[in-house]
Amino acid sequence: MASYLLRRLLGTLPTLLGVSVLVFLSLHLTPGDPAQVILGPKATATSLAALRSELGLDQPIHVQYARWMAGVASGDWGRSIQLKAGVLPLVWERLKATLILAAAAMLIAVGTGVALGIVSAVRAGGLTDRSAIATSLVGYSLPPFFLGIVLQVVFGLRLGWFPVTGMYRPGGSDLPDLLLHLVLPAVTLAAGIGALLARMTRSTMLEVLSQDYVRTARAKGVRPGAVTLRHAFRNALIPILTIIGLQMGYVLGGAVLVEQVFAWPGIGTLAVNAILARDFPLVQGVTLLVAVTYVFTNLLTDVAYSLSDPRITYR
Amino acid sequence: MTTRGIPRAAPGATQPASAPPGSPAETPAGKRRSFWRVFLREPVAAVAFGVLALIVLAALLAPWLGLPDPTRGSLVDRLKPPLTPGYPLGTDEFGRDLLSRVVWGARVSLGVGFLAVAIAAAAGVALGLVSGYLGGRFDFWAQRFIDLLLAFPYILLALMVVAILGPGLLNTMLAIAIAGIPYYVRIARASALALREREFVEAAEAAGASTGWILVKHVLSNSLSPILVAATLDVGFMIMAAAGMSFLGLGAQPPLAEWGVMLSNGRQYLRVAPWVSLVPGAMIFLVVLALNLLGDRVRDLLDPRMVGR
Repeated sequence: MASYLLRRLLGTLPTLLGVSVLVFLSLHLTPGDPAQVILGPKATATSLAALRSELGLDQPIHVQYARWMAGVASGDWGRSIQLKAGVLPLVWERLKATLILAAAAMLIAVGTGVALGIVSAVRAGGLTDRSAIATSLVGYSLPPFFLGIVLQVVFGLRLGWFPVTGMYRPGGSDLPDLLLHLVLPAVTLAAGIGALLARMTRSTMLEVLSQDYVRTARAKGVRPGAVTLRHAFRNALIPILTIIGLQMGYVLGGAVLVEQVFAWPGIGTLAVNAILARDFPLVQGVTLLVAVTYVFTNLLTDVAYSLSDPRITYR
Repeated sequence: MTTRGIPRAAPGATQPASAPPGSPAETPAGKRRSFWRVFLREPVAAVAFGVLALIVLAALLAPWLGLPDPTRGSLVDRLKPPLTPGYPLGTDEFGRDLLSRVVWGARVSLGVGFLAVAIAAAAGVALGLVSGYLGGRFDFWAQRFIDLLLAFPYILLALMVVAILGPGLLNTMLAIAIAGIPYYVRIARASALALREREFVEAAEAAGASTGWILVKHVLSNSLSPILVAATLDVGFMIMAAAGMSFLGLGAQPPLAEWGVMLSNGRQYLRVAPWVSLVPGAMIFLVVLALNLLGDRVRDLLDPRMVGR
């Protein structure tokens, strides 16, 4: 067991190395001189030379990579050109806000999506099933930035139930305030994932419900609710878990759009501003952190998957 | 936004059931006709097709529809609500006609979406087929590279490409296309792996056909149905991604009539004139919904195992 986990952990090393190379190279893949790209066409020769030496661009590329990696490993992720501050503290601070939003969205999506999928499968072909299918189709066709605006107009501006932007009211930092601010962005982010989960849960459940052991359970008189939850859902859970894990990439990416709609102070807004300002050290920091988070959530899903199914042996 | 990473179409999907010999549907034209007849038999699919056809037609014919200039407005008529005489969908903050902007915007938004799918599919299918068919070292390294791209969430990868190329409509289109390549590589490779073991491919090899010929004539032509399903389902996703990039301020720039830009600009007037944002947003939703419905229908027809799933 411990050796399995260790091996899986070591297995991510090539991926992490590749990710770091790609993120590092992103600055060098820009058309033209990176220093010129960052400072713009009006930059003077002295400021260009200063930036080149600050970023180490005057060194051979493998030396640059080694230095950059050494910095990344020791917690020195460079300095943001626009914000004039260390990249790691900036990115770390913002990641917390994104993770809060992502976790809330995941919770809502899993709760509603899985429930909708089960009900839909149990009532397959009926009116409930058809409305559930229609709802999920609408859910994953709704662009998050459009849904967010609709929710802002209806529940924020018209009804006044929830605040429209931000994470706290000015000067506030208490939990009830955070939860109130969290509702609209979390629902917006959850809609697409919940819809997909409903669809996937439905099709997995339909498959399981047609198995012989389910028929046997029904024939021996087990209550319908118990057949659905204890016999069918438990076996459908494993593929559903995998799908939930796969959604992490969507949550992290979709958060970029949702954060922009609700002015949520997360990593997405930071990334977009950094790209617009061509602040490369910051862009690299955000990309690296999100990609690493993604690689590890995928690993966790995979491990959870093999541990939860007794039919899969971990060797 | 729909998610990548879930196989939306089974690789190696089966061909549509063939018509009985001797029936008129057996000729290529007849086959096509009967496909469309079956395709549109389902009312929901027919409505979705109608809506989409109407929007595409309006976009193509925009210059001849007699609509006012989408970039010029009169400040007297700013922020007029929908159904105002002369402005069926209302006006924006510069008094520009929203109907005209939405129709002209369709040219940009739909065009970018379709082109991005075409680029991603062409590059991804080429790499996937060659990789799957040749195997060996090329396949190994190509797949490691694709794995690496898949280590980034889709939007993050697209954002990274925009960071490299710089913001702008063309660069955004390239970015969402590049980020979409792994999806097609996977599907095409799976298909090529299965096909290279088939007798007709082995026969062509034995007959001395060139690799290029076998790839195009036998492997590509027999992989088309799963690729087509994937691409149909992808167009809506790409339109949404392109609009999303413009919404973030990275893609199309004002005053260009593009749905994402219109939606984003209108946000300043949500309190007094929500329609400025809601009209273009509803258009994106409508097109994506129609495309998803059609994509599901195409998948059901080309892969009967997936019906009702």
